[in-house]
Amino acid sequence: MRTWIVAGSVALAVAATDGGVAVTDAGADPIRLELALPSHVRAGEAVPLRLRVENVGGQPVDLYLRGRAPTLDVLVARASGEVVWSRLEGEIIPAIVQLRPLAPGERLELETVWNQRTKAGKRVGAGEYLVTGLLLVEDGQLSAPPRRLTITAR
Amino acid sequence: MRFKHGAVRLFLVGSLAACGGAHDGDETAETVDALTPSGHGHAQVAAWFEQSSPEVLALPGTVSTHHDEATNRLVIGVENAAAGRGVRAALARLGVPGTAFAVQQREPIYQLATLRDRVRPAVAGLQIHFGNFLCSLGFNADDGTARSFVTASHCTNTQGGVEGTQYFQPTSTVDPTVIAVEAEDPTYFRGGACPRGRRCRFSDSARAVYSAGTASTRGSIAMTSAPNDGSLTITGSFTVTSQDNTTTRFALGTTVNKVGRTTGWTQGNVTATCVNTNVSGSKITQLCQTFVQNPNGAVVVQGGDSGSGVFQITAGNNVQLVGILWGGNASGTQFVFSPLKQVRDELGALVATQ
Repeated sequence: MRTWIVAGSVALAVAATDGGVAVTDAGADPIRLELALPSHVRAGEAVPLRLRVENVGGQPVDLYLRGRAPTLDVLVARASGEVVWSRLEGEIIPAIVQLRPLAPGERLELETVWNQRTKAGKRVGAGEYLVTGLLLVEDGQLSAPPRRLTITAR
Repeated sequence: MRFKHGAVRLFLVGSLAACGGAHDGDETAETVDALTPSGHGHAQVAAWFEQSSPEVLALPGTVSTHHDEATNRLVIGVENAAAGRGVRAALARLGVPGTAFAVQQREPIYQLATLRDRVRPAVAGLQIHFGNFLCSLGFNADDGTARSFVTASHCTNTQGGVEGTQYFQPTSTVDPTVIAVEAEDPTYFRGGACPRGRRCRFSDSARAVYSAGTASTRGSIAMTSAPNDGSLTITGSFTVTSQDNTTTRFALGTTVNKVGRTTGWTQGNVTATCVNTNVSGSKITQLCQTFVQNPNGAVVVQGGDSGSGVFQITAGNNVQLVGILWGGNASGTQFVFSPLKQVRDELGALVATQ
């Protein structure tokens, strides 16, 4: 038996966690998403971001991913909810579906870096931020739970 | 329109109401019997039903049979008068008296396919499959004598250059027949109008030639129930009656449509024209592209819609082909298409009208 994953099929916890390796509670769903990032960085320091997508079930899963290659979006928001950076803002993505099988226990990892600037190029200030990783699929997005990020003054 | 397919999702539709008004009077009169009580015993009519139903349903033009409890009659639905005559003859041969049945004219009941099912003849808007990818069939066209379809350039094994991509519809699992093979996908160029460090074209388009034996209909685009309602069930077809072979800058506000395998029939307005557009995650730039959004913020594109033909509705179900969709924003509220003029400039003359 093979499982097909499309948007909206993964029930994810939305509580933010600080740093560490806290993972998504995906309930009975075979796909677990986790965004890994440092819990604290200095102002101006590049922030490495890694979205892990893992088949934690016992059966193969077919992901219907948007794009020629898996496409990662990241939202960085202030505590007030104001989004200061959206990785794909203003981007045009090919509207193709890639069929990506994930064997039991197999993990897909997507990486990017945030330079602490808005899309307009303005540097954000020190403070608390919520960071959410998203994987684009055929008809929407799969979301990892938000993670807290603290930017400290130099 | 009748669709044959072997897919999982089938929907039975069609009215069982008599439709005498849709046919000429003589034919209707001959195939509609009054539904009055039969006067026979229920067990006797039930036995006639068991005996006759399989034979009557096997006759051409028979739509349905049932034992109507209200009148205690066999009620036979037929498509037309000729079918009605065949049913009456069969029932007489089986010894069922005329007072025990009624023949009623009914609309035929079709299986409805979705854009993701196997559909022949192949039409625009259907799902196509190659390698590990899914896209949409843009439009059928003749290039000289070769019956072809056009889809997006990135809906080939390698974007730019011809490597003989094999296409299946809807997937190779459902039907392992190769329906078409990539024949044209111009290479991307550097220099000139192309930004430094990038590779460019003026259209994200490619052409595949149909295999002998794969039926296709030129000038037909699958239609779903309504724009922006999310339905993928095919309810009819648009007819391509004209092509816009000249426009690169569409008037802002122009309403355009597309039909694709993920979001079905969607509609929006042109918001920007001749936009040089970097393709996210690549070194490719598509020059002079058209942007479209729905004024109410509806989702108009998602993954798998690449390759869809873009068209304007001219009158009723008649449409004018204007381009090929290839991308959109992450939320799906904006799509981008290459004008048909630029597709033809790169792929050569194509006749896509019915």
